[in-house]
Amino acid sequence: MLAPVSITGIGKCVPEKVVTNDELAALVETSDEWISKRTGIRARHVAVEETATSLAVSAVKDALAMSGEKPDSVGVIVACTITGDELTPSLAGQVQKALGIPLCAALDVSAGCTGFVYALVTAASLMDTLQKDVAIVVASEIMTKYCDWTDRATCVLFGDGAGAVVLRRSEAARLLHPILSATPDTDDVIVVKKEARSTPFTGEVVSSRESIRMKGADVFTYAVGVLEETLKELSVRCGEQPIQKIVPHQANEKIIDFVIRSMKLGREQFFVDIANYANTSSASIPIALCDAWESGWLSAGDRVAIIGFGSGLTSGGAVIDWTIQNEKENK
Amino acid sequence: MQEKIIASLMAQLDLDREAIKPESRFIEDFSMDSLDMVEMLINLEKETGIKVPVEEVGDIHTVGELISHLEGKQQ
Repeated sequence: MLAPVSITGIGKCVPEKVVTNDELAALVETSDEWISKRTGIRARHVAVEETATSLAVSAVKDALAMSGEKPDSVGVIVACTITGDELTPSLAGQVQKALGIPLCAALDVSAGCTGFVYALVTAASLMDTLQKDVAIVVASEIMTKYCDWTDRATCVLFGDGAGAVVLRRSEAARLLHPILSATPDTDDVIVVKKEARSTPFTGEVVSSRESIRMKGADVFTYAVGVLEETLKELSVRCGEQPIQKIVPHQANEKIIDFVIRSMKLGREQFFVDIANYANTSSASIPIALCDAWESGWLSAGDRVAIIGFGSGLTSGGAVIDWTIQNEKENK
Repeated sequence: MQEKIIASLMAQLDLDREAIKPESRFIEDFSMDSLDMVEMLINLEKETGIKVPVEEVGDIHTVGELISHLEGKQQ
Protein backbone atom coordinates (compact mmCIF):
# COMPACT_ATOMS: atom_id res chain seq x y z
CA MET A 1 0.00 0.00 0.00
CA LEU A 2 1.22 3.49 -0.83
CA ALA A 3 1.53 6.10 1.88
CA PRO A 4 -0.53 9.22 1.06
CA VAL A 5 2.17 11.46 -0.38
CA SER A 6 2.70 14.64 -2.38
CA ILE A 7 5.65 15.65 -4.53
CA THR A 8 7.05 18.71 -2.77
CA GLY A 9 10.31 19.24 -4.64
CA ILE A 10 11.76 18.47 -8.05
CA GLY A 11 15.17 18.92 -9.65
CA LYS A 12 17.21 17.85 -12.63
CA CYS A 13 20.83 17.90 -13.73
CA VAL A 14 22.30 17.20 -17.15
CA PRO A 15 25.93 17.19 -18.29
CA GLU A 16 27.33 20.45 -19.56
CA LYS A 17 28.42 19.11 -22.95
CA VAL A 18 25.73 19.19 -25.64
CA VAL A 19 26.23 17.09 -28.78
CA THR A 20 24.03 18.03 -31.73
CA ASN A 21 22.96 15.75 -34.54
CA ASP A 22 25.29 17.61 -36.87
CA GLU A 23 28.21 16.81 -34.57
CA LEU A 24 27.25 13.13 -34.60
CA ALA A 25 27.33 13.22 -38.38
CA ALA A 26 31.09 13.59 -38.06
CA LEU A 27 31.27 10.26 -36.19
CA VAL A 28 28.82 8.06 -38.08
CA GLU A 29 27.01 8.23 -41.40
CA THR A 30 23.96 10.23 -40.40
CA SER A 31 22.48 13.71 -40.57
CA ASP A 32 20.33 16.03 -38.52
CA GLU A 33 17.46 15.42 -40.95
CA TRP A 34 17.80 11.61 -40.74
CA ILE A 35 17.84 11.57 -36.92
CA SER A 36 15.20 14.23 -36.27
CA LYS A 37 12.76 12.83 -38.83
CA ARG A 38 12.97 9.32 -37.35
CA THR A 39 13.17 10.17 -33.66
CA GLY A 40 12.42 13.82 -32.91
CA ILE A 41 15.90 14.13 -31.38
CA ARG A 42 18.01 17.22 -32.17
CA ALA A 43 20.66 17.08 -29.43
CA ARG A 44 21.71 15.24 -26.29
CA HIS A 45 23.78 15.99 -23.19
CA VAL A 46 26.86 13.78 -22.88
CA ALA A 47 28.81 13.20 -19.68
CA VAL A 48 32.51 14.04 -19.83
CA GLU A 49 33.50 14.76 -16.23
CA GLU A 50 30.08 14.03 -14.73
CA THR A 51 29.08 10.68 -13.27
CA ALA A 52 25.73 9.06 -12.52
CA THR A 53 26.36 9.92 -8.88
CA SER A 54 27.32 13.56 -9.42
CA LEU A 55 24.27 14.18 -11.63
CA ALA A 56 22.01 12.44 -9.10
CA VAL A 57 23.37 14.40 -6.15
CA SER A 58 22.93 17.71 -7.95
CA ALA A 59 19.33 16.90 -8.96
CA VAL A 60 18.52 15.77 -5.40
CA LYS A 61 19.99 18.92 -3.85
CA ASP A 62 17.75 21.07 -6.05
CA ALA A 63 14.69 18.98 -5.23
CA LEU A 64 15.43 19.11 -1.50
CA ALA A 65 16.00 22.87 -1.61
CA MET A 66 12.64 23.36 -3.30
CA SER A 67 10.87 21.13 -0.80
CA GLY A 68 12.42 22.89 2.18
CA GLU A 69 13.32 19.52 3.70
CA LYS A 70 16.60 19.11 5.57
CA PRO A 71 18.66 16.04 4.63
CA ASP A 72 18.29 14.55 8.12
CA SER A 73 14.50 14.42 7.68
CA VAL A 74 14.85 11.95 4.79
CA GLY A 75 13.74 8.45 5.78
CA VAL A 76 13.91 6.68 2.41
CA ILE A 77 16.09 7.06 -0.68
CA VAL A 78 15.16 5.05 -3.74
CA ALA A 79 17.42 5.50 -6.75
CA CYS A 80 16.98 3.95 -10.16
CA THR A 81 19.67 3.44 -12.72
CA ILE A 82 20.92 0.87 -15.17
CA THR A 83 24.22 2.72 -15.59
CA GLY A 84 25.33 3.35 -12.01
CA ASP A 85 28.98 4.08 -11.34
CA GLU A 86 29.59 1.11 -9.04
CA LEU A 87 28.22 -2.40 -8.66
CA THR A 88 28.19 -1.56 -4.98
CA PRO A 89 27.56 0.66 -3.08
CA SER A 90 24.26 1.55 -4.63
CA LEU A 91 23.52 4.91 -6.22
CA ALA A 92 21.11 5.54 -3.34
CA GLY A 93 23.96 4.88 -0.92
CA GLN A 94 26.19 7.30 -2.82
CA VAL A 95 23.49 9.98 -2.66
CA GLN A 96 23.04 9.34 1.06
CA LYS A 97 26.78 9.72 1.61
CA ALA A 98 27.01 12.91 -0.44
CA LEU A 99 24.13 14.51 1.44
CA GLY A 100 25.45 13.42 4.82
CA ILE A 101 22.24 11.67 5.83
CA PRO A 102 23.17 9.65 8.93
CA LEU A 103 20.49 6.97 8.83
CA CYS A 104 17.77 6.06 6.35
CA ALA A 105 16.62 3.24 4.08
CA ALA A 106 18.56 3.42 0.82
CA LEU A 107 18.30 1.12 -2.18
CA ASP A 108 18.39 1.02 -5.98
CA VAL A 109 15.80 -0.41 -8.32
CA SER A 110 16.54 -1.55 -11.86
CA ALA A 111 13.63 -1.54 -14.27
CA GLY A 112 15.12 -0.10 -17.46
CA CYS A 113 13.46 3.02 -18.76
CA THR A 114 10.46 2.38 -16.47
CA GLY A 115 12.77 2.73 -13.46
CA PHE A 116 11.44 6.06 -12.22
CA VAL A 117 7.85 4.80 -12.03
CA TYR A 118 9.01 1.69 -10.19
CA ALA A 119 11.16 3.78 -7.84
CA LEU A 120 8.36 6.23 -7.09
CA VAL A 121 5.94 3.45 -6.20
CA THR A 122 8.62 1.63 -4.19
CA ALA A 123 9.41 4.78 -2.19
CA ALA A 124 5.76 5.53 -1.40
CA SER A 125 5.25 1.87 -0.39
CA LEU A 126 8.30 1.95 1.90
CA MET A 127 7.10 5.19 3.47
CA ASP A 128 3.96 3.30 4.47
CA THR A 129 5.76 0.13 5.58
CA LEU A 130 8.50 1.94 7.51
CA GLN A 131 6.30 4.84 8.64
CA LYS A 132 8.60 7.50 7.21
CA ASP A 133 7.49 11.02 6.30
CA VAL A 134 10.00 12.05 3.65
CA ALA A 135 11.57 10.20 0.72
CA ILE A 136 13.88 11.02 -2.15
CA VAL A 137 13.39 9.37 -5.53
CA VAL A 138 16.17 9.91 -8.03
CA ALA A 139 16.90 8.56 -11.51
CA SER A 140 20.33 9.02 -13.05
CA GLU A 141 21.78 7.55 -16.22
CA ILE A 142 25.00 7.76 -18.22
CA MET A 143 23.63 5.99 -21.28
CA THR A 144 26.33 7.29 -23.63
CA LYS A 145 28.97 5.06 -22.01
CA TYR A 146 27.00 2.04 -23.18
CA CYS A 147 26.50 3.11 -26.78
CA ASP A 148 28.27 1.60 -29.76
CA TRP A 149 29.58 4.80 -31.31
CA THR A 150 30.01 3.08 -34.66
CA ASP A 151 26.35 2.05 -34.89
CA ARG A 152 24.28 4.92 -36.25
CA ALA A 153 21.03 3.11 -35.50
CA THR A 154 21.53 3.24 -31.71
CA CYS A 155 24.20 5.79 -30.76
CA VAL A 156 22.06 8.70 -31.91
CA LEU A 157 19.21 7.71 -29.59
CA PHE A 158 20.63 8.22 -26.11
CA GLY A 159 21.72 10.96 -23.75
CA ASP A 160 22.71 11.41 -20.12
CA GLY A 161 20.96 13.10 -17.20
CA ALA A 162 19.28 12.85 -13.83
CA GLY A 163 16.02 13.90 -12.25
CA ALA A 164 14.79 13.74 -8.68
CA VAL A 165 11.70 14.38 -6.60
CA VAL A 166 11.01 14.67 -2.89
CA LEU A 167 7.94 12.91 -1.49
CA ARG A 168 6.31 14.05 1.76
CA ARG A 169 3.50 12.32 3.59
CA SER A 170 0.34 14.39 3.12
CA GLU A 171 -3.27 14.30 4.27
CA ALA A 172 -4.59 13.65 0.78
CA ALA A 173 -2.95 11.09 -1.49
CA ARG A 174 -1.54 12.82 -4.54
CA LEU A 175 0.33 9.86 -6.04
CA LEU A 176 -2.44 7.59 -7.28
CA HIS A 177 -3.34 4.48 -9.26
CA PRO A 178 0.11 2.85 -9.56
CA ILE A 179 0.59 0.29 -12.30
CA LEU A 180 3.78 -1.78 -12.47
CA SER A 181 4.12 -4.54 -15.02
CA ALA A 182 6.67 -6.67 -16.81
CA THR A 183 6.52 -9.23 -19.57
CA PRO A 184 9.42 -11.56 -20.40
CA ASP A 185 11.76 -10.29 -23.11
CA THR A 186 11.81 -13.66 -24.86
CA ASP A 187 13.34 -12.25 -28.06
CA ASP A 188 16.05 -10.17 -26.35
CA VAL A 189 14.76 -6.96 -27.89
CA ILE A 190 16.68 -4.67 -25.49
CA VAL A 191 19.91 -6.02 -24.03
CA VAL A 192 23.12 -4.64 -22.53
CA LYS A 193 25.42 -7.51 -21.51
CA LYS A 194 27.74 -7.12 -18.53
CA GLU A 195 31.35 -8.16 -18.76
CA ALA A 196 32.13 -11.70 -17.66
CA ARG A 197 35.29 -12.70 -15.81
CA SER A 198 36.81 -16.09 -15.34
CA THR A 199 37.37 -17.52 -11.88
CA PRO A 200 39.53 -20.50 -10.90
CA PHE A 201 36.39 -22.63 -11.38
CA THR A 202 34.97 -21.44 -14.69
CA GLY A 203 37.72 -21.74 -17.27
CA GLU A 204 38.16 -18.97 -19.79
CA VAL A 205 34.91 -16.97 -19.89
CA VAL A 206 36.24 -13.45 -20.17
CA SER A 207 34.13 -11.20 -22.34
CA SER A 208 34.07 -7.47 -22.48
CA ARG A 209 31.04 -5.36 -21.71
CA GLU A 210 28.76 -5.03 -24.71
CA SER A 211 26.93 -1.98 -25.97
CA ILE A 212 23.18 -1.44 -26.11
CA ARG A 213 21.50 -3.81 -28.54
CA MET A 214 17.93 -3.13 -29.58
CA LYS A 215 15.52 -4.59 -32.09
CA GLY A 216 13.93 -1.29 -33.03
CA ALA A 217 10.78 -2.55 -34.71
CA ASP A 218 9.98 -4.91 -31.82
CA VAL A 219 10.66 -2.18 -29.27
CA PHE A 220 8.35 0.18 -31.14
CA THR A 221 5.56 -2.41 -31.26
CA TYR A 222 5.93 -3.13 -27.53
CA ALA A 223 6.17 0.53 -26.57
CA VAL A 224 3.11 1.79 -28.42
CA GLY A 225 1.08 -1.15 -27.10
CA VAL A 226 1.89 -0.67 -23.41
CA LEU A 227 1.78 3.14 -23.59
CA GLU A 228 -1.74 2.94 -24.98
CA GLU A 229 -2.88 0.18 -22.60
CA THR A 230 -1.44 1.90 -19.52
CA LEU A 231 -2.98 5.25 -20.42
CA LYS A 232 -6.37 3.61 -20.97
CA GLU A 233 -6.14 1.79 -17.64
CA LEU A 234 -5.14 4.95 -15.76
CA SER A 235 -8.00 6.84 -17.41
CA VAL A 236 -10.49 4.21 -16.30
CA ARG A 237 -9.14 4.29 -12.75
CA CYS A 238 -9.38 8.09 -12.64
CA GLY A 239 -13.09 7.92 -13.46
CA GLU A 240 -14.76 11.30 -13.23
CA GLN A 241 -11.55 13.14 -12.39
CA PRO A 242 -9.86 12.75 -15.76
CA ILE A 243 -6.17 12.90 -16.58
CA GLN A 244 -5.41 16.32 -18.02
CA LYS A 245 -1.79 15.94 -19.03
CA ILE A 246 0.59 13.11 -19.87
CA VAL A 247 4.35 12.90 -19.40
CA PRO A 248 5.49 9.68 -21.09
CA HIS A 249 8.97 8.19 -21.20
CA GLN A 250 10.88 10.06 -23.90
CA ALA A 251 12.23 7.26 -26.07
CA ASN A 252 11.22 8.28 -29.56
CA GLU A 253 8.77 10.97 -30.62
CA LYS A 254 7.25 8.54 -33.11
CA ILE A 255 6.03 6.35 -30.26
CA ILE A 256 4.21 9.29 -28.69
CA ASP A 257 2.84 10.50 -32.03
CA PHE A 258 1.50 7.02 -32.79
CA VAL A 259 -0.44 6.88 -29.52
CA ILE A 260 -1.78 10.42 -30.01
CA ARG A 261 -3.15 9.41 -33.43
CA SER A 262 -4.33 6.00 -32.32
CA MET A 263 -6.22 7.28 -29.26
CA LYS A 264 -7.32 10.48 -31.02
CA LEU A 265 -5.84 12.67 -28.29
CA GLY A 266 -4.60 16.23 -28.52
CA ARG A 267 -0.87 16.71 -28.87
CA GLU A 268 -1.08 19.54 -26.35
CA GLN A 269 -1.91 16.95 -23.68
CA PHE A 270 1.56 15.39 -24.01
CA PHE A 271 4.82 16.90 -22.83
CA VAL A 272 7.67 16.08 -25.20
CA ASP A 273 11.24 17.28 -24.67
CA ILE A 274 13.16 14.51 -26.43
CA ALA A 275 14.54 17.03 -28.94
CA ASN A 276 16.88 18.43 -26.27
CA TYR A 277 17.90 15.30 -24.36
CA ALA A 278 17.38 12.16 -26.51
CA ASN A 279 16.49 9.04 -24.50
CA THR A 280 17.89 9.30 -20.96
CA SER A 281 16.27 6.02 -19.92
CA SER A 282 14.86 6.12 -16.38
CA ALA A 283 15.79 9.79 -16.00
CA SER A 284 13.58 10.93 -18.88
CA ILE A 285 10.32 11.19 -16.91
CA PRO A 286 11.64 13.26 -13.97
CA ILE A 287 13.63 15.48 -16.35
CA ALA A 288 10.48 16.00 -18.43
CA LEU A 289 8.37 16.65 -15.31
CA CYS A 290 10.92 19.24 -14.19
CA ASP A 291 10.97 20.94 -17.60
CA ALA A 292 7.17 20.80 -17.79
CA TRP A 293 6.90 22.54 -14.45
CA GLU A 294 9.67 25.08 -15.10
CA SER A 295 8.12 26.05 -18.43
CA GLY A 296 4.69 26.57 -16.87
CA TRP A 297 3.13 23.71 -18.90
CA LEU A 298 2.53 21.84 -15.63
CA SER A 299 0.84 23.82 -12.87
CA ALA A 300 -0.45 23.26 -9.37
CA GLY A 301 -3.88 21.63 -9.61
CA ASP A 302 -3.08 19.64 -12.76
CA ARG A 303 -3.71 15.90 -12.85
CA VAL A 304 -0.81 14.39 -14.79
CA ALA A 305 -0.13 10.79 -15.78
CA ILE A 306 3.42 9.48 -16.01
CA ILE A 307 3.97 6.35 -18.10
CA GLY A 308 7.18 4.41 -18.59
CA PHE A 309 8.18 1.45 -20.76
CA GLY A 310 11.48 -0.21 -21.42
CA SER A 311 13.80 -3.14 -21.09
CA GLY A 312 12.74 -6.11 -19.07
CA LEU A 313 10.26 -5.70 -20.72
CA THR A 314 8.81 -3.40 -18.11
CA SER A 315 6.03 -0.86 -18.13
CA GLY A 316 4.28 1.23 -15.53
CA GLY A 317 2.30 4.33 -14.82
CA ALA A 318 0.82 6.47 -12.10
CA VAL A 319 -1.25 9.59 -11.69
CA ILE A 320 0.08 12.66 -9.88
CA ASP A 321 -2.06 15.50 -8.62
CA TRP A 322 0.54 18.22 -9.03
CA THR A 323 0.82 20.64 -6.12
CA ILE A 324 4.04 22.58 -6.64
CA GLN A 325 3.34 26.14 -7.71
CA ASN A 326 5.75 27.80 -10.11
CA GLU A 327 6.87 31.40 -10.32
CA LYS A 328 4.57 32.08 -13.24
CA GLU A 329 1.58 31.14 -11.09
CA ASN A 330 2.80 33.27 -8.21
CA LYS A 331 3.06 36.41 -10.34
CA MET B 1 -9.32 -5.55 -48.02
CA GLN B 2 -7.79 -3.23 -50.63
CA GLU B 3 -9.97 -0.30 -49.58
CA LYS B 4 -9.18 -0.85 -45.87
CA ILE B 5 -5.47 -0.83 -46.61
CA ILE B 6 -5.67 2.29 -48.75
CA ALA B 7 -7.81 4.10 -46.16
CA SER B 8 -5.31 3.21 -43.44
CA LEU B 9 -2.38 4.48 -45.53
CA MET B 10 -4.23 7.70 -46.37
CA ALA B 11 -4.77 8.36 -42.67
CA GLN B 12 -1.24 7.47 -41.60
CA LEU B 13 0.62 9.27 -44.37
CA ASP B 14 -1.86 12.10 -44.91
CA LEU B 15 -2.08 11.27 -48.63
CA ASP B 16 -4.88 11.61 -51.19
CA ARG B 17 -6.51 8.48 -52.58
CA GLU B 18 -4.98 9.14 -56.03
CA ALA B 19 -1.44 9.11 -54.61
CA ILE B 20 -1.73 5.49 -53.50
CA LYS B 21 -1.29 3.03 -56.36
CA PRO B 22 -0.50 -0.70 -56.33
CA GLU B 23 2.97 0.01 -57.69
CA SER B 24 3.70 2.72 -55.07
CA ARG B 25 6.86 1.89 -53.13
CA PHE B 26 6.81 2.54 -49.40
CA ILE B 27 10.38 3.70 -48.99
CA GLU B 28 11.08 5.39 -52.30
CA ASP B 29 7.66 6.96 -53.01
CA PHE B 30 6.29 7.58 -49.52
CA SER B 31 9.63 8.18 -47.71
CA MET B 32 8.64 5.64 -45.04
CA ASP B 33 11.23 4.21 -42.66
CA SER B 34 11.17 0.95 -40.73
CA LEU B 35 9.15 2.38 -37.83
CA ASP B 36 6.59 3.83 -40.27
CA MET B 37 6.27 0.30 -41.71
CA VAL B 38 5.72 -1.16 -38.24
CA GLU B 39 3.14 1.54 -37.50
CA MET B 40 1.39 0.63 -40.74
CA LEU B 41 1.23 -3.05 -39.76
CA ILE B 42 -0.12 -2.23 -36.28
CA ASN B 43 -2.82 -0.02 -37.82
CA LEU B 44 -3.76 -2.72 -40.32
CA GLU B 45 -3.95 -5.34 -37.58
CA LYS B 46 -6.45 -3.13 -35.76
CA GLU B 47 -8.44 -2.62 -38.97
CA THR B 48 -8.41 -6.16 -40.30
CA GLY B 49 -7.51 -8.41 -37.38
CA ILE B 50 -4.67 -9.85 -39.47
CA LYS B 51 -1.27 -9.86 -37.79
CA VAL B 52 1.85 -9.47 -39.92
CA PRO B 53 4.99 -10.28 -37.89
CA VAL B 54 7.73 -7.65 -37.95
CA GLU B 55 10.10 -10.16 -39.61
CA GLU B 56 7.90 -10.14 -42.71
CA VAL B 57 8.26 -6.39 -43.29
CA GLY B 58 11.32 -7.04 -45.45
CA ASP B 59 9.19 -8.96 -47.96
CA ILE B 60 6.79 -6.08 -48.53
CA HIS B 61 7.97 -3.21 -50.73
CA THR B 62 4.88 -1.92 -52.55
CA VAL B 63 1.20 -1.31 -51.83
CA GLY B 64 0.36 -4.17 -54.20
CA GLU B 65 2.63 -6.57 -52.32
CA LEU B 66 1.04 -5.51 -49.04
CA ILE B 67 -2.46 -6.19 -50.38
CA SER B 68 -1.40 -9.62 -51.69
CA HIS B 69 0.35 -10.42 -48.40
CA LEU B 70 -2.71 -9.63 -46.29
CA GLU B 71 -5.10 -11.34 -48.71
CA GLY B 72 -2.90 -14.42 -48.55
CA LYS B 73 -3.08 -14.47 -44.76
CA GLN B 74 -6.84 -13.92 -44.83
CA GLN B 75 -7.42 -17.10 -46.83
